[in-house]
Amino acid sequence: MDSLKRSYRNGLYSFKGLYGFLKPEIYVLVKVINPIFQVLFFSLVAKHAYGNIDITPFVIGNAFVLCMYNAFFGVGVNLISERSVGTLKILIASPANKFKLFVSKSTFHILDGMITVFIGLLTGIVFLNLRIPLHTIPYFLISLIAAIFTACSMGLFIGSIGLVTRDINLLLNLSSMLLMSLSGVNFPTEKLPFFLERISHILPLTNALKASRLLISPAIVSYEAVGMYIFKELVIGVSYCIIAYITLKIMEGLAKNKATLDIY
Amino acid sequence: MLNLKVVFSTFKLHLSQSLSRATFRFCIIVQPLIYTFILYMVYRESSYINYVNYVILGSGLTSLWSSICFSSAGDIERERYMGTLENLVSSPSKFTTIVLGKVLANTFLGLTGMILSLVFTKVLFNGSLHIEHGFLFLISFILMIFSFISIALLIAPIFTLSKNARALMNCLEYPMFILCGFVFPIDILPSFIKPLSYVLSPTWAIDILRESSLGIDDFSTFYKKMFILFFISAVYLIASKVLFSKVDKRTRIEATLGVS
Repeated sequence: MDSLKRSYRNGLYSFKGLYGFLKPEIYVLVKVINPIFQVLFFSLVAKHAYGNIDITPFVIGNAFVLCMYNAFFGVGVNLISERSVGTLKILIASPANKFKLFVSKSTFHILDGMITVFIGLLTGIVFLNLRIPLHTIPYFLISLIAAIFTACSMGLFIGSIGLVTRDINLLLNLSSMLLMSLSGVNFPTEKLPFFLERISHILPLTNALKASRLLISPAIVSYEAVGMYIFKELVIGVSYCIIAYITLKIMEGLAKNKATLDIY
Repeated sequence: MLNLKVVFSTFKLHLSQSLSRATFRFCIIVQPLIYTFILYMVYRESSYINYVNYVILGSGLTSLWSSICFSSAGDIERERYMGTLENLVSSPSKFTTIVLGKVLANTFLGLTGMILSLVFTKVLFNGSLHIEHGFLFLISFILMIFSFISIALLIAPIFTLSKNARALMNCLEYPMFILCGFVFPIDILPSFIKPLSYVLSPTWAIDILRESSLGIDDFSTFYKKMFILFFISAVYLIASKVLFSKVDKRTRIEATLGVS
């Protein structure tokens, strides 16, 4: 129980630490206004390109991808933030389980990411005629949680590479852009060239998006297919978590050996 | 009087400083390529014959805007962070001249995004930019650069005073992409939003660029649009001059320029 409380406290302080310096109006600008416009922009691109066809899949895709800000620029920059405030070496030298520590720091980003995705979906409902059938909402929520979990796991993995590189922001920006272009957010992954389509299978969001699109399609929903996609998404998430754990261990060792822990 | 030597040396210094930053390299090299890829994949299924024009102009101009936007906010924020903003403002060279050098450098770098998009589309998808009226396209292109520089100079003093420039700059991207019709014509926007689009110079810049490349229906309307673009950009320049002098006055009275 104590460790759970500690984990909660750690996550809350870390989240507050990241956004605490912002005024509430700036938080609203970054976490509410910007996501709304991002969803509107890409949905309008689809509307212009395809004319009168149903743009719901694009709205869903662009709402889901909003979680990457928390996953990459929240979870991913945890280590770098510690470095920039000078506490990274204390953390690394401490006997605490570093992986557990960074996982607990991710908790509030998962919740915040969900709120951002809800804002994106609400934008779709209000401005773009998005309709989610009521009876599919529980499955829809599960696919959303799976997507955010997988994205955060990837963020954790990229963040751990930050221990040995100065340009973590470049890596995070690149990953978020790749996710936007390869996970089927703005067009089906089947349209991608063969090798890129293969890559899309191991990226976060791809399977969760397929599941959520099945749920809102006018055809009869095959819950078996939905379940399979969600399961695949979760497997990818767990895999990223394991890779992140191994990478963190390797990078920690490398950073200690090369004395690159405090390189800005 | 504009000190060209200061503009040129700031331009040169800013080029090398910007290129040394990985995030900026990402903005001017990787981002346009990824936007080109996404837009191409979306537009190739559309019914437009010259859809490549939407892809190249759209991705090129979005990266140019990002570069301009980040130049106006990010660079001032960086100078403040490094503790050099006070020195720049109080140096014998005018602050406006220094900012102009920075904006020119970022515009120059931002334009590489369009060239990259052009090359990327040709090499990967064998798509080319269709230009119907070459000379008018060139004039429109020059006017577009002028308008982007003037809007950057207008934003810069606002961001100089704002302590939350970075957050503001991140929030200016998508609204501008939508309002100015970077990737799609503003006709698809609701009519109550359009007046806002009309007061933004990039709206007219993109419109004449797109029209001169895809084909002009009515030449007199086209020339009117060119004039409106020039007029709005000139208004921005005058407004930026007023704002810069206000910045100068306010920063001397309040002495909070370097407070982050």
